[in-house]
Amino acid sequence: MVFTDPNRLPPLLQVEHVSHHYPDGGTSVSNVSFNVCKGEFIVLAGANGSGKTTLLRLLNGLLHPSAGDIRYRGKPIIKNPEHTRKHIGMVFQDPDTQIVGETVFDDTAFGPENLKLPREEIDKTVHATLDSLGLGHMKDRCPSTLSGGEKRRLALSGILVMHPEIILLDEPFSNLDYPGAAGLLQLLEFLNRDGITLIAATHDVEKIIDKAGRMIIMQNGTIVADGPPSLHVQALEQYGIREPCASRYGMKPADWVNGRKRP
Amino acid sequence: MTPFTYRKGESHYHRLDPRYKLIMLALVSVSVLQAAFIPLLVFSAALAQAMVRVGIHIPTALKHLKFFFLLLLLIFLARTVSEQSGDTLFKIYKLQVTTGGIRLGVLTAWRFLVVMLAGMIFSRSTRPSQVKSAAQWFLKPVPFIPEKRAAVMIGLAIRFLPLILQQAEELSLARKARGGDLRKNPVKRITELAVGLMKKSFRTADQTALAMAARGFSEDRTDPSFHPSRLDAAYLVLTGTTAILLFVC
Ligand SMILES: Nc1ncnc2c1ncn2[C@@H]1O[C@H](COP(=O)(O)OP(=O)(O)O)[C@@H](O)[C@H]1O
Ligand SMILES: [Mg+2]
Repeated sequence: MVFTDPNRLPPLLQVEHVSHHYPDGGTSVSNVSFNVCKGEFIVLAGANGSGKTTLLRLLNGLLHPSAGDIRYRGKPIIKNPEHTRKHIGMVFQDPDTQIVGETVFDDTAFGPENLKLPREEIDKTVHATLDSLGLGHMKDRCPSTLSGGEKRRLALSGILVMHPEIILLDEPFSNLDYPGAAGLLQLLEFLNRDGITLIAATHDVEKIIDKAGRMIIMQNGTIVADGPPSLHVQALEQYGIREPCASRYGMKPADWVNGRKRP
Repeated sequence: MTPFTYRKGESHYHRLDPRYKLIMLALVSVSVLQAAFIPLLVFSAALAQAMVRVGIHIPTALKHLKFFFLLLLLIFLARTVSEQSGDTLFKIYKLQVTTGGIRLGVLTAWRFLVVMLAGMIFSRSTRPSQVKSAAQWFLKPVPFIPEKRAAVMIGLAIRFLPLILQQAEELSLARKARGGDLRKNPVKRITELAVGLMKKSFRTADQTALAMAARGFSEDRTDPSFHPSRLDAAYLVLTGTTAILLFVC
């Protein structure tokens, strides 16, 4: 089942019959097809081991499909990995492994340095990005001293500084406390309103479902549902994903940040 | 936080170009190891002044060096008994302790201490990334060493060292929680910890390599930039002169 809204722009990302298997394992993604349009906010839901991480890595060219085709703006992504990685950013599950700079500033500068931008331009764009994420005052801090939420924001800043069109997020809420998760959620919403296409893989749909316009559910490496979240939210538990509380009691999925109980 | 970790500051030492600072540190180290008593005394006073300027609290710094003082004591003892000049103070077995020996022992230990403190001023006032940039700059003319790759490796080492230390502490606490310290054999204890730590580090390295690829890692990257000023020239001349004086006096 492929969900595309005919009123939107032509697809940014086209995934056609993609399969992948790890050399030593079984099939991790099998015959997956879908399109992504500009400005979408997609939740990729699925139980552990359903193939979400593998699919995200295929989408930005870190892994190559064993079969099928992935196109970004009509061009196969494996033909031009540098182009792909500049435009399709990825936030890994564990920010500790993604942050490579010795300070907050240096880490954010890593991407632009790879692009060999002139030093003055790097300084300017890094400062602007850090300020926009509220990290400006900690630019000289050592990343290992940051909180979980700040680390996740730093990981995002290292990607935003490249001005990507699509951001892939792998389990963005793991290891975040309530304020950390709420802050990240607001940031994602803001980025999406700014025109950045988001695909977030998670087994914890409750936090994000209200913000997303589309939900793709994966099970055993295949897509078992694709469409507006409200349409499939009740089917979640049959695929091993926890259904949001509100929806269990027959209500619309609540706004996870603002929908909390008031005194 | 040790007195060796970088802290932001406004002192001259903070503002100097890291390449000049490295050269100055080298000059000081070489000349101090040759210095005689009186010049060393004068230089030490200047150094203490510099320590205060970069924001080092001297008593705290000395407390942090307590293991280093043990090493200095060994150096002192070794030097003392190896020199036989002046009056004999006392004799243990065949070892003769003389005034000349003590003088040399104190001088040697003191020189090492001064080099250590100069290094402390350097690392306290220089951002790790600047150290990395300076290293890259000095490696550039060295053949067969890809300086950009070396700089990336230095950067990763600086970044991941605290992380690995954190993990080591976590692993060791987790072992303790399960009664691991009841085990008497220290070799076994350390191997178990090392194996756990290696497993974790390899997994981290694997993920980091992927993440670097995802962020478009390329060895052909922007060079660090330096902004030397008149201040650097002034300090270099000052240090050069001091080094010569320490050498000849
Ligand atoms: N590096 C790997 N080598 C072999 N098999 C793997 C590897 N990574 C994941 N797999 C397997 O691929 C399948 C999908 O994993 P993954 O994409 O990580 O799922 P998810 O992110 O949804 O938890 C799982 O069955 C998993 O065991
Ligand atoms: Mg995963």
